[in-house]
Amino acid sequence: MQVYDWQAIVTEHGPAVWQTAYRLLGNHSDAADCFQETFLAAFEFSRRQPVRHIPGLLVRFATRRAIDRLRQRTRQEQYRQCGSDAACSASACDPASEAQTRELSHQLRRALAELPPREAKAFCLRYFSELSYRDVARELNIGTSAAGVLLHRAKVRLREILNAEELETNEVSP
Amino acid sequence: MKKQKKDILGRAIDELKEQGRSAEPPQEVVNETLTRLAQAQATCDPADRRYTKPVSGSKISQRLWPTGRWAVAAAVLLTAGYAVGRISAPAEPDIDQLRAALLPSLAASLEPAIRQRVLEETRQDYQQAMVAGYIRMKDELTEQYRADLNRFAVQTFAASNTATNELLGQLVQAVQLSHRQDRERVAAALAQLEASRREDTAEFRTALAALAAQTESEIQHTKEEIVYLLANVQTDASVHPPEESSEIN
Repeated sequence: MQVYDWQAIVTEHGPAVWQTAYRLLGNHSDAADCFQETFLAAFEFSRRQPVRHIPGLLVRFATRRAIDRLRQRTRQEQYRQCGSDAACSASACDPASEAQTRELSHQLRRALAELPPREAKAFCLRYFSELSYRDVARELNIGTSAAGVLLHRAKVRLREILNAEELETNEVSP
Repeated sequence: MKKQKKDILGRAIDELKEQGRSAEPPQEVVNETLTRLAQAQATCDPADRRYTKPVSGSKISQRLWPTGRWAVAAAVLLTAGYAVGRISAPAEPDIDQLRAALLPSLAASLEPAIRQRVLEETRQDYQQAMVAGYIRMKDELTEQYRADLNRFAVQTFAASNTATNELLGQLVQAVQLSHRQDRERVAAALAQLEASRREDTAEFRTALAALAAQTESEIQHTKEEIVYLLANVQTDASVHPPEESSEIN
């Protein structure tokens, strides 16, 4: 018999889920919705079948929901740069460099929303959740080589989008 | 060029990782999530609140698995004991004797596990009942607090309205009294002005009559003097004839 103490699970793994959601979505409102949906989905999942690794399940659900929400937000063109409520870090005291890095992260979010869902998920699990290729493949229920292909395609596509946007920015403001 | 592209993607990944690294979920989001999880647990069937490992077979066998697996284990043990006894015993074993021999050991081995399981179930049910009771009590207290707050607000508004109406009535009465007093003062002043005007008119008429009488007497006196003067002039002309007029001519 397997009994889950969800209060302890939320307390222990909540920060990781929040970081995953907030990193991809960039504002508190969407991250809070994603946070709640992730734990409710994990609860429903745990009622249907056994869970081998609770943190992996939570990160996988959070990544999938955050990417879905990011794509939905991009489709509805509701994404505004001023909507991001990330606080200015104390270390980044230079407004110009701060603006550049924030613009870069916004561009990466937009580019992730344009990727196919599986590629975006594989990319996030590999580079944000820092899973190994084998873990990424296991989370996506595919082979390791297929995961490598997905990651390679995702990186190539992201580089193309980022370079195109940077080129466009340089042409607008020489 | 390739190095630059890699740097762009790498920098973007580093920035995005850095943004979420130190973020902590807000406490209200955590509380809301726990509340929704507790509600989901409370609304589901109590038999489904805990997970049991699935077994192959029909749904009925899966449902009976948690309670029946101990019986299956006991049956397996009994069967194993029976088989061992059957093989080792030269003669036909006595089933009742074998069961009587195995029953105490089985009971001794199963009792702690069953006791532990019952304790665990009781603790889980108690915890879930406590969570549900806490949420229900919090909702009821919140509802009651809002109802009391609304009632107090209505009473306060009613009392404030009554006091305002009373003060407005007093103000209206004071304004009306002040207007009446002002009108009375103005009427008294007008009456006094009218009396003064009449008195002045009478005095002026009397003075005019006196002036007319005096003027008339003065005119009469002047006429008399003129007549007297004319009489004196005629008398002088008859005594002394005019010579100067010829000299002048």
